[in-house]
Amino acid sequence: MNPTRRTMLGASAAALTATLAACSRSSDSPDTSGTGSGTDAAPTGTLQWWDHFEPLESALTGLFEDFATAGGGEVERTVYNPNEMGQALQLALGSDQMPDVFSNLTDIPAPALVSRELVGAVTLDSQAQSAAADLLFEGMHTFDGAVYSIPLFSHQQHSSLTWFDLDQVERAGGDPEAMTITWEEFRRLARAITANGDMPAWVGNLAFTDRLEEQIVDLAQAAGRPLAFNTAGVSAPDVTDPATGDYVFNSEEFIEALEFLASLIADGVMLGASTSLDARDARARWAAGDAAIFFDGPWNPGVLSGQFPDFLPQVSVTNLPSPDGHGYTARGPSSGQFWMSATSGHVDGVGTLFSLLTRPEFSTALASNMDQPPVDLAAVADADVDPTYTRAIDIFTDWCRLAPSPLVRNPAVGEVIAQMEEIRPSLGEIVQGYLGGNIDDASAALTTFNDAISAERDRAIDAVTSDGLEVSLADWEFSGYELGADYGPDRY
Amino acid sequence: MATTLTRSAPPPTPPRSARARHGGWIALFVAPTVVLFGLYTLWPSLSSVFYSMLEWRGLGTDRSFIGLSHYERALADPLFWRSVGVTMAIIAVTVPIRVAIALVLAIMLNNPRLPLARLLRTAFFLPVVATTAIVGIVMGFVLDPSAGPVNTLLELLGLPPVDFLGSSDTALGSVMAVHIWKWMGITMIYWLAALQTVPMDLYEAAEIDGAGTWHKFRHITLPMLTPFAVIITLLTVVETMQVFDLVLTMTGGGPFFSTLVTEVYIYEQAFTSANPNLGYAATLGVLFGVLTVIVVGSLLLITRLVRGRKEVTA
Repeated sequence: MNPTRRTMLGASAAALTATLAACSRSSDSPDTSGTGSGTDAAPTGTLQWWDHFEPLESALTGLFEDFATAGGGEVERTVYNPNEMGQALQLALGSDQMPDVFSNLTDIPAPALVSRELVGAVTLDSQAQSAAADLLFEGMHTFDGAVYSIPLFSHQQHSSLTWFDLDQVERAGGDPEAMTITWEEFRRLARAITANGDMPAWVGNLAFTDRLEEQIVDLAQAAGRPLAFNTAGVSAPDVTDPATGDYVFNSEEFIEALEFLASLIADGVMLGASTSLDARDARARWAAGDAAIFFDGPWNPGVLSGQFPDFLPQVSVTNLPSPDGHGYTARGPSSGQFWMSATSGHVDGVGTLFSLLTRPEFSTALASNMDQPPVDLAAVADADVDPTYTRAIDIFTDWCRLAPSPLVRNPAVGEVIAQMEEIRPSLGEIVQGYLGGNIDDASAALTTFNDAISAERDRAIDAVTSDGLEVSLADWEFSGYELGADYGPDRY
Repeated sequence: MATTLTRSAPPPTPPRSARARHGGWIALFVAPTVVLFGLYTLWPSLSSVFYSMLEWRGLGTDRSFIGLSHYERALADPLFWRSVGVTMAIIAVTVPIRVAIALVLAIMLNNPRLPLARLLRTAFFLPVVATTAIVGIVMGFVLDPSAGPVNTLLELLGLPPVDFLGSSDTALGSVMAVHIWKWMGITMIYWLAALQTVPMDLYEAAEIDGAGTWHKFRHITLPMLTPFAVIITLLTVVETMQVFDLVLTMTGGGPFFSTLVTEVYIYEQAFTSANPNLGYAATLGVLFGVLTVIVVGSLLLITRLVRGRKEVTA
């Protein structure tokens, strides 16, 4: 039978109705997905887990299998590109489709996550409670004594390790066994490698301003500038002078660090393409033999083993360059990586999963991924990892310390940070602009930025205090702290 | 022979029931467009205006009405105005080039005696159907200062390498060049369609009168294409304001804001800023919409004024 116009219209209308029905929000229908949209519903279906830690595939898969074996049910994990994670959470929150567990790439500090009731408390089993007791900071992982998150990764890390091609460094007369290197030694080595003619010595990631921000902060610390950090992450509003509580991005050490990077360009040792490379592309160019040296984090051998396994045996690592070769760095306490959505219908299941995260077996599995080091660095010794990863962890053990955290002292600091508008150009953009020739006077640019971010914090403090929270500049002051020492929980 | 002029009888008026049935069919066929236009154009536009008056980070339901504060902030935001400047610069440079070169190509390809005309048309149109994001990524490799084919060629010619996308001196020009290449084909198709409306007998008559190629173009083609030039230019301007995907994949708005077009800045404010603000992003979106209307309206106004002056002088 040939379809008539009338039957075609009828069929189209039916199809449209069916499509619209299919497009309606899942929360309108009975919740069988387990997405947690029904807050009071009994846990049904699959537990949804979103994160951006792609290298944790095997560690988390093992964890989820243990959970399922113990009768906890299925866990469906979705891994997002870090650039897209925050956007996915924005959309999920707006459409009432939050997963049960997520990694916090929302740029909302932990206290604000809790105060805005976006996350819920979890109940750890007794074994986990004792294992995590020394790792949890009030105002960061626990709030009013209730546990909200568990730190998985160590604060003893940074993303500015000096990874190099062994052959090139040896040919240029460098010492591949050295665990540290001075700025002058680095420049001399880089010039020698470039002069050998095979490749430019250093590849940067000048298109990745967030990473540039981290690296300039690390280099300034290596130059002797003590800093306080709210967490183990680096973002300009979180980084202050512990002595005064002020922002000090225009201090001598920051300018020296910037000039050190600029000297690499002036020396002609930088791969030209660095100006348009992010970290991922820069690593690929380095592994492809376009340059000999690349600043990166401890996850580098993990990525190389997956993507460039032939190159990994040619690689070694030393600490970030510093003026005297003894560059200490520090970070604030490591924040929790995973959070339970306040709307989750799998509260018990998430508590069990978070308890499993504290097991030594998970730390060892985590180390095996060669990603960010586990909170217990000693677990690396039990893991099957590349020697360069072990070497990177040894460097962190010797040279990375725990910085004081205003956020731990007063959780209201988190509300201040959350209130602060971004200052543009950001610290990373200033670094990019100076290295790219768009800014002539680095000191003036950093001073302008420093003044602007200080004024913005003052405004945010006023806004937060007018809402009834108690916070003041004194919360950022930690007299007596020295770079190179740990600022442990007992010192608050 | 006498000729009798007769007025044709008016068509019979259909009965009321037939008109109602006819109107029902019209409504039925128009309804999908009305619904889709309402859902995907009208509603987002109106809701953007509403969101632009909210302090809303996009996370949770924590929203507060702040009136026109975001508009005050946007008008004083140097990066917003910088992004508008970059967008306008792209329009000012690429639109005339695109429209002019596409016209030349269309005239050449409209020549029935040109060999391989169909193949050439396809070749020029091919970049249009290529995914813009892929084009942006591939162009990153093509323009690479260390190992890209363009710089390899420059090296062979004894010229120094050019950091096309990594230098703020050259990044915007590079994006413009790729944008022109990518979208030239669609403007060419517009012109080819316009050229089909020029009657061939006009050319034949002109040839009989001894007109050469230039005179035919000057006195037949150009006047006949003028009405189309206005709409093609307007379409090209509006398309050029939508360079988000190409800029994001080629430069991400950098280096140091040199290619920061307004759409990318809006995206940054909504999703990738250290402190995302959907309310402010919506404000920038509304202002950009207003700007688009102003640009297109100004072009139309200028065209009418020019036409009006020509008619007066004629």
